[in-house]
Amino acid sequence: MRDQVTKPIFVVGSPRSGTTVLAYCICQHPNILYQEEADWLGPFAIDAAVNHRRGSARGPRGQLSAIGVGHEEFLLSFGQSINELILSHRKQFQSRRAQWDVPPFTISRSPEEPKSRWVAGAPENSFYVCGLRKLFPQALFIHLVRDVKDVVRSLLNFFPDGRNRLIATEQDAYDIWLRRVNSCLDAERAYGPSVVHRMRYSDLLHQPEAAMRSLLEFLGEPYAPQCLEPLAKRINSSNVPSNFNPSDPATDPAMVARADELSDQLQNLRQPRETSAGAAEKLEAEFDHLVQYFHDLGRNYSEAQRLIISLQRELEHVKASAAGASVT
Amino acid sequence: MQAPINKPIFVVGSPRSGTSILTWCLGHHPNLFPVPESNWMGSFAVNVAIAHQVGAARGDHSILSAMEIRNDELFAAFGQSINDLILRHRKDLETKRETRSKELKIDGRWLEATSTLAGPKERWVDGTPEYSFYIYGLRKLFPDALFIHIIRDVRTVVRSMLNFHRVTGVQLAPNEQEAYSYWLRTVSACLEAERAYGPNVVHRIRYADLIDNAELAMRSLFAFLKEPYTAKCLEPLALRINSSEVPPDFKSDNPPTNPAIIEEACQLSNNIEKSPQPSASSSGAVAEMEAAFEKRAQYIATLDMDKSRLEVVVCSYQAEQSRLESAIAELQRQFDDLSDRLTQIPGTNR
Repeated sequence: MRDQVTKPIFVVGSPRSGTTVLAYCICQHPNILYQEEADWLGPFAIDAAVNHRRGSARGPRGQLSAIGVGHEEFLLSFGQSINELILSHRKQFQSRRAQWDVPPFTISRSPEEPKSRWVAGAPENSFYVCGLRKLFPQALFIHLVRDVKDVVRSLLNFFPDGRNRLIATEQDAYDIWLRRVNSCLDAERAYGPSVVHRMRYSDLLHQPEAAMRSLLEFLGEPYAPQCLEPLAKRINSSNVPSNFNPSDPATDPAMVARADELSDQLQNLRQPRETSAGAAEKLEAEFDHLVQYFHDLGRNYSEAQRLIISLQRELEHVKASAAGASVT
Repeated sequence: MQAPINKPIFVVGSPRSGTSILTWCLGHHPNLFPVPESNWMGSFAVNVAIAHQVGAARGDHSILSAMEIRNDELFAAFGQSINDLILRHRKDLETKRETRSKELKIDGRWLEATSTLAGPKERWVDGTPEYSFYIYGLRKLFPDALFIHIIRDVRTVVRSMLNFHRVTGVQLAPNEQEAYSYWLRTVSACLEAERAYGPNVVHRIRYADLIDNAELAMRSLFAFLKEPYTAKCLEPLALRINSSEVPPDFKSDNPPTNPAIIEEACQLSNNIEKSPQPSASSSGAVAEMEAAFEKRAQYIATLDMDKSRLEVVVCSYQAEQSRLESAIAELQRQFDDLSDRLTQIPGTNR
């Protein structure tokens, strides 16, 4: 089983940038299986790294350090398990999806399709590219980028459950786009175009074949025209009214200007061809910071509880002094 | 290729009950090898539970539920990964133990007996007392794992815990009350596992029997582990290891311990000495352990959010404190001002 290919594909970027529809397109390829939103994998990579730190904390007396299991091997072995589980559940997934009234796409066109890789489109994974690469060192990432104004309009008109808006304010919408896109740009710089492939949403709509050919070449898969089929349908749309004006006076104009400028750059400039060791170190440091944060969380939580009790006591003392001073 | 055997053995119970020596004894068996104490698999099991909750939260729109990857399956797959990692690194462990045997205080004969040259060594033994609290989660990771609950008289354990730091510099319990309390918690957790899973999964062994009736105790233990008996496993008992060297006249000078805790612990310790472990498993006890595990997962899953909430509370208290302190300073200033003015009024003598 361990000989299976472990080369998953993650579609990342801001929500409402076409991540879902692009994942539907890619999974029409005979070698790629669709995955629902895999938003547990990033936090799991951090948890696994925390546990590796715990198991190596005592040097030669720590279990993992004593048996010589480094954190790369540790996370990689869980990544392989996840890959095997996913690929071995293809039949269950297909039969479950067959019960849907209107399946949004075809899971598999024939049992002969190898489907030896899987694709997951989860915008939250934009924050976890470094950790996902630890679970799956050969994973590839597609950064799908869409004009920020369109994304904001779509976010403000998206009601996932039919009643409640996904995002409350225009400011929140801009913030969501900025943070995820900036994380993906960090990953582009850190790992280069052989690991992260930037794709414009507008190219997917207006030059789908060229965009898909380029994408499949990046993935190392032969071109398959059926990957364009899902684009004929309107999927997961937010139905923005034609007269919708998102402009909210409470939105920070500096943030809007920053987002607009970045969005324009992304529409006009190509992604960098080189990798940057500094950017990779930055992502690694951020990952380590999160690992340390969660490693210490339990202890810090208890300390915060103790601090509250001592502050409550001090406050009572100060109040008593204040009452005394007033009487004087 | 045949999948490697995945039947680890966990020696659980209170610290200072003989978990280390028993782990080394078992490691002298040709099919078993001892791994250093670990403290990560319990919390890892909790993290896996959280990961499954997140990965299955949205039904058909979440990866794990959409693929029908059940909770048990995810746990077992990760347990298999851990088992594979440990088995794959047996040689590295041996090499490290050989090169650091002096620092780690490992007898040369033990290195030989626990090496892969001494047998196939297809199962590993972990003697981490802390795992007494994580038996449910460890069983999820390793459904075929077996547990040995070693139990020692509470008074002896408490004396040993309180003296341990003198020999090793490691403080196991800051005072007598904490030592009694820790014994109670670990032993109660193991007793619950005994009730839940029965004697086919958890085997109770008395420390006194290991010392006084070693061969008999070890034969019974190997029958439980389904491994043939070997007298070699008794060899480590001839050496005194990891002792806390309690002076004969030792008396705790700690602050007074709550007598109710001492009484509860001594009563439980006496009861265990007299009564055998339950002969059947109990689905009710399993349900209780499952509920406790899920509660812990829930607690850990929300800890980050709860910590942020606590930080907000801390900030508001600090702001309130600073506001009150300013108000006091202002009152004091007004008071001083009034006092000054009073002294300036002719005929006022303050």
